[in-house]
Amino acid sequence: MIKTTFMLWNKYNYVYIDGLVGTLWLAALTVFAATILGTLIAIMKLSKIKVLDVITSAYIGVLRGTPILLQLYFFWLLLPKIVPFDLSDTTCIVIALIVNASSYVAEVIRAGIQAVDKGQVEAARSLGLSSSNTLKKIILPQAIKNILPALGNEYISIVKQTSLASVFFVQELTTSYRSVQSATFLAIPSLIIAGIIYLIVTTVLTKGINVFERRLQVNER
Amino acid sequence: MKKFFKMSLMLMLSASLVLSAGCAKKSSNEEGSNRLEKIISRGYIEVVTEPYFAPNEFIDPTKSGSEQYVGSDIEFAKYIADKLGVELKIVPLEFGAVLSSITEGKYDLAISALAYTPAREKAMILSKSYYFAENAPGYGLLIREENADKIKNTYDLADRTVAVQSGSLQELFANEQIPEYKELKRVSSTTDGILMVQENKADSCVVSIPMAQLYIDANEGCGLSIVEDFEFTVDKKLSGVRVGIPSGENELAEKINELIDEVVSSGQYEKWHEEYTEYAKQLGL
Amino acid sequence: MKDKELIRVEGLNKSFGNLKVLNDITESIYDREVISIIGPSGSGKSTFLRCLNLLERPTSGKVYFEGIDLSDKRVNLDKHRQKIGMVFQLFNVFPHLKVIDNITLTPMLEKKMTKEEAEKKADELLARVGLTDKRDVYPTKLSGGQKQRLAIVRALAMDPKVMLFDEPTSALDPEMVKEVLQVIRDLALSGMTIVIVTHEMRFAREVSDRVMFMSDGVIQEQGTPDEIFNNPENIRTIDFLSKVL
Repeated sequence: MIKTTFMLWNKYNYVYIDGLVGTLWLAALTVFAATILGTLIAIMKLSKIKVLDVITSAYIGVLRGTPILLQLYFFWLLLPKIVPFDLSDTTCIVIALIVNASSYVAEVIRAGIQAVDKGQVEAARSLGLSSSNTLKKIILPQAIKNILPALGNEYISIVKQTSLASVFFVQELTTSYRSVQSATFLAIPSLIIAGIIYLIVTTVLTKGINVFERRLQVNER
Repeated sequence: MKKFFKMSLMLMLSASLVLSAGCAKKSSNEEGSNRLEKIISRGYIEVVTEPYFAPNEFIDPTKSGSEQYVGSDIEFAKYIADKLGVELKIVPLEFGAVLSSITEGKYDLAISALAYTPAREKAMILSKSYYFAENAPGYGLLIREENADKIKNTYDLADRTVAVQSGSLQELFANEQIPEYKELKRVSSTTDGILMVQENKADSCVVSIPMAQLYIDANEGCGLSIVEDFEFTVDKKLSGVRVGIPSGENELAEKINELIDEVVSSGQYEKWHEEYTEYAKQLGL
Repeated sequence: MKDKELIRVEGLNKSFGNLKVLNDITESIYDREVISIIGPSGSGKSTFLRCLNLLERPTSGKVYFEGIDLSDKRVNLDKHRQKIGMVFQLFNVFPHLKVIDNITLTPMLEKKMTKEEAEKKADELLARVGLTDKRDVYPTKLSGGQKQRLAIVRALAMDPKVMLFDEPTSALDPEMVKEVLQVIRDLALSGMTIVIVTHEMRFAREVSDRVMFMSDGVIQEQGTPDEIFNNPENIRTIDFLSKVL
């Protein structure tokens, strides 16, 4: 088995590498776009306007309450029908992943802002610092220290989640595994290679985020 | 109170999406011209297939983009596109989605080693057969070697688990030709079914014999074998693989049947089939 | 000579849900006064103090600063808050800014001071409280006493007319209490109007012009330190003092 796995890697390593690049890039794009969308939603939720609160709660509720695979199918089937121009399958899937991720990112951002000690706001406002300056100079800089590590963890989750896109033949690591598997009939070795790559990537990323988090907190406490 | 609001909002959102989708679909059917004309005027044809079935359609990992989808059916699709004077777009999908997308009319043709089943006949137009594996082995039962004495035919499956690809011809055989089984497990691809037998999650899997043999040859020591001297009965009249065409598109079906006659009588399809069987072998180790 | 009335509260009531914390208080605070507020916990001392700059919004009643109704929506509350400095029990220094930046941030943003002007003033203040060597350091590296001294000069940088202290030494280790009280003492001697909620009785006695004893949301008794500490009249005052002195 081990020998076969090595031989398989020798023959098809570039397929896996290409897939990995696809996965990392897809995850990065998703997190980036989801952060923009998620920030909007977080601001709406924090704004205290009741209507916005209900809408965003419904949005987050649906996205977190249904399986992601179903959401992928949903976007893949429906989006081309309601949009007047042509959408490739991959585009539909990417949009679905972004929308789903935005619901988690919105919560990360909201939690990050609310985790900032209330005393900070009290001190700022009692100095006579305006509410917008308080947000910009006191709350957000401290919230970002909370948010960035959480966003990093979200990235790692999404790296794994993109594997669902393989159902739609989007170019990423799990799709590579399926291609190699179907071409060689070597189901288990091809699976092991993909699994090891995922493990290495997530471990490296997790360690990286921990280091980053510790450096952020050097100035805290 | 808030929860009720949330619920009704979600329902309204989903309902409006579904309704607008339905409307969009309706308008495209009212256009009048048939699909064949539409294909020619828009300049491309969309052929859907499940690329996990060598040598008909499979993936060459050394290639990328749409180049990676190869096989005798793919060659046939290229031939059709050429003859119609349009570009070819191959759409890879899971097998269940291949069938449903033709039923829905989302894509133009399904060329995916489709065998005849009564259910499919009702849901779409099936072309005439373009490949008969007259003397080639057909469909059989995959089992673990250790059970070779115990499972010799379908009656021996009475207290066994059978795995089968969902929506496939194999599933039809399982339902019609296995008198009794302990449990039927549906999987999305035949390879998953083979793995289930290998890992003792199922006792047997209904397989295409050539495909299963390829797997066994590639995986030394997998402990699997095909039940000897046993094949599922295939109605000769209805044997062979066909092209799936959306219902009502008679002009398109006629054209496809014409092209099938061409590649069959010239022996071209057979050639492709042999060519790609060799091709598939060299992709392994 | 009657000093100017800086702060006036009228009919001040504050409830948190069903809990009534301040009960119909009417009181004035005059320029250059040093007032200590003492009393048992739960008496409403901190809440009263926090109403003076509207950090807590009264359930009913009015708060006037220099004659202006702070709860009036048309009033620019931020502008008036700049003239009221506040120091908190838990310091609330800005951890992501260096010591010097903690002090210069608000003057630069709200008073439109230039960096040079703001830093010059900040350096003077730092020298006054002995924190010059910590100028470019982040607050995490400071002790509790140093953080509180920073908080005090941060508020002073805005040139307030009155300084409010909410139990400024209650969270400090005993060895650091003295250094902070010294700063407040110096501030009082320099003529700053001060309202301080505190448990430091000796300090209250030494430094105050007026001592208020609060209990159950009401100012039960007030007077000079001598009157309150040596000749209390209200039974509650007597009871409290017997426990803490």
